[in-house]
Amino acid sequence: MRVISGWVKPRMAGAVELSEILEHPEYMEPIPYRREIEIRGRISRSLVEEISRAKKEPEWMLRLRLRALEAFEKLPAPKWIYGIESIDLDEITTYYVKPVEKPVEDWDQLPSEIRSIYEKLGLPEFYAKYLAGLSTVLDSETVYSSMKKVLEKLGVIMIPMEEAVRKYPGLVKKYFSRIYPLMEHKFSALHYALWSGGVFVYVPKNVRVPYPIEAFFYVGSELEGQFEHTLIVADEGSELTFIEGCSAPRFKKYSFHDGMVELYAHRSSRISFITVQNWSRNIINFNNKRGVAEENAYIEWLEGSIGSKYTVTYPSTILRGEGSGTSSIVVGIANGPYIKDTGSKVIHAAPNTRSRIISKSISSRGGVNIYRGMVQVNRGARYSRSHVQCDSLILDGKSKAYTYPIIHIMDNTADVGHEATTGRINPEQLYYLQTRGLSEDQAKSLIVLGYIRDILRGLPLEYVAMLSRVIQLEFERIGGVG
Amino acid sequence: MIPREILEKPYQPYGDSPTIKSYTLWSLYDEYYKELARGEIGIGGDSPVPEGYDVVLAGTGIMSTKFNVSKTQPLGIINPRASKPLEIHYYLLRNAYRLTLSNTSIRVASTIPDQKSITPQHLVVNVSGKTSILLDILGDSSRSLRSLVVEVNVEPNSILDLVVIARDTLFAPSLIVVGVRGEEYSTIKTTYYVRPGVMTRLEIKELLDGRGAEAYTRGIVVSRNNERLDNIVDLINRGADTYSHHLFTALLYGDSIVAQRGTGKIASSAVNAGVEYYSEGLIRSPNALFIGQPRLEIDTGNVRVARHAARNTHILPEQVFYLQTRGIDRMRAELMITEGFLLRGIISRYAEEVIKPLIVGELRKTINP
Repeated sequence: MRVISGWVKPRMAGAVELSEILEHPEYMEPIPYRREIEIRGRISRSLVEEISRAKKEPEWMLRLRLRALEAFEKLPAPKWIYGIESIDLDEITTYYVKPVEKPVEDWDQLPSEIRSIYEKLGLPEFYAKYLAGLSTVLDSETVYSSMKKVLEKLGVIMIPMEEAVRKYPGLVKKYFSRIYPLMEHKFSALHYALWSGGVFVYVPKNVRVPYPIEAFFYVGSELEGQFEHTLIVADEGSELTFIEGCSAPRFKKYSFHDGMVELYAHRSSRISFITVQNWSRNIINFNNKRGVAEENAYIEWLEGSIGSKYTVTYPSTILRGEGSGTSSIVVGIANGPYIKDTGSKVIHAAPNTRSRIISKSISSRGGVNIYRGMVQVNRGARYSRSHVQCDSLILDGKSKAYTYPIIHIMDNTADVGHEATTGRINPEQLYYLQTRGLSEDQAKSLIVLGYIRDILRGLPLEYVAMLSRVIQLEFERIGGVG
Repeated sequence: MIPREILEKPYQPYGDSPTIKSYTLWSLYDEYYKELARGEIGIGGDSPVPEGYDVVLAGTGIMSTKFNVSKTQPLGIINPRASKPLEIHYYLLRNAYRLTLSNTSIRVASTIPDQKSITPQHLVVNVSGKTSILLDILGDSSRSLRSLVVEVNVEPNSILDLVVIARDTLFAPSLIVVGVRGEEYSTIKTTYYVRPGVMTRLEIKELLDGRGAEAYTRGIVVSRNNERLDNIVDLINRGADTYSHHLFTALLYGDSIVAQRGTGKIASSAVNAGVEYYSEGLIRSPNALFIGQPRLEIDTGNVRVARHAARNTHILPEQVFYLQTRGIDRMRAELMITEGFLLRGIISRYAEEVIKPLIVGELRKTINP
């Protein structure tokens, strides 16, 4: 890793925070490592068949991939996405690499060149400190997965997605692509045609996983497509917190991430899904996330979107069961000429459901933040409640913030509200803090952090610390903020 | 008559979004355009000329005994490419008419023929001093597709009080577009009341180009039965120190659908500008649908205020109970609360005088048919 003067190198000894792992990945040079299988070529039927063959997949999965490919070819590119014209899918030619034959369960079994990537990222220490289970995805492929005894004892299944397809075909087939249909849009179809890597988690009835489960995604080469698929099923009365971190080194050209997360929360279960995304600024990041909540279940999304050249992600929840609920907290930071197209969607399809969406964005140095969200209350979803709040902060004259909410209300007993504000740092607040002896930069730092931290109250300590540290590091770059 | 390349275009510049498709009856517009293209229907036709108005846009013509009307070109406030119905409007339009108004009050009516046709109407108005305009859009039982565009330019330091009343037809879709441009330190007050038709598309565009210009927009809708309204209100702040404000309230009965969407925009040139945009729906039927899409586009950090909100609201039992304790019966209490919801925040006395009796009459008819 090349360390740019003035930037902190991640510590290799003692406690390491994920914020440090995610710190400024664009300043890392790509690290060479052995690739046993690498599939190159334009998107085609033979490419899809080759991927499926290499993964030794069952017939039904190949059929699903081919159906998705057909849909991808037919579906139009969504015109409403800002900057979509900059994506040339023909340029992306690397879809699948497999550095090890099979995921290993012991850290020491990993090839040394791959281990060195994670050692440089500080993952082992983080793993030791916080995590019960860990799975990392390197260039789309799960290379290392570990499950502590405690998870085994609880009966929790946490294995790479490919292994789950082979080992638990009935269970996977029941949920895979049932939550996020492949026909939804062009990029979801592309994802299903080329998916590789990701994690499958199943939490049995009435099991509460005592520690957060972590996955870390890393794109290792330019002009590469990463299409990991994460599927989490929480059975009745169970609880789970899942954290995913995303990172990549600096490339001369861009890479493309089109991942997917499907969550299924059975009756009275609870899933918390946390993303801290700090891809390097060459990554075009599409993230398709959707959950289904049955009776009295709860799905919680926390999306910290800091890195990437261009991000499109709208965590969505379908509240299918009576009394179910969801919350989405989305933090988008566009610091530089980057675009964050984020938001959240909720469909209230049952009575007495509730949802809350909070979005906070900061635009600076020409950055563009877009909030795009939808709340729909279906006919018959009696007494459902929803509240949406979007706040945008613009730190200079050339940055932008756009808010595009949609509210569909088809039930007259529903209570739905949306509010949004866009503003700048109040000069009076700045002046007040300066009269207390703070410099202008320090005063700005305090105000920005206060603006962000406001929404982190009440969240578990480890990811409040993680997210706020990453944000602090990001804003150190605009002159003292943080 | 209409070229195939226009007929085959999508209705929205960014494609037909699933949301817009879900409530807009594009097929009705298409039916008219295709029949015109096949020569089965014509353009305009004999239209009624009601009394009590200073200017009447009747069919594709115009008549006035009080004001000078001249032929002119469109002003350019409305973008012909903004939607397919607008593109077809400009394609079919043969004459636009100009009115010049200064320190006056005027009543304008728009009527269309009863027979099936497409009727493009285009009025350009230049306003100076303190001027009020009532635009009464009539068409209760017409079968003609109304395509009405009104463009108003408000000169520096002038005040415009514009009231639009649209009582649309249940037998044909319509396109009604009102664009107002404010020059330096002008004030624009636009109040509109709509009783939608089978498919009413009403677009309001307030363009604040001049420094210090202000626009206040107030929309009121009462919809019943199978009526549908797609209401688009765009507030575009392009001058420094400009300010725009929009409040929309809709009351929905029956199977009606009301969509209120639009953008509050502050361009990068609009230093220290402000925009506020609020939409509310009161749904009184389990089958009605309210869609709110208020958008904000802020292109500069040098912004005074930028805020929007959308919600649905209810008649609260506490409100009804309070009024009942004062001796008011339940039905009367609900009527009072509904009137308060629809009539609050009306921005000019003139608008209140014109619109209030219409709304009160409409509510009484709805609650006590």
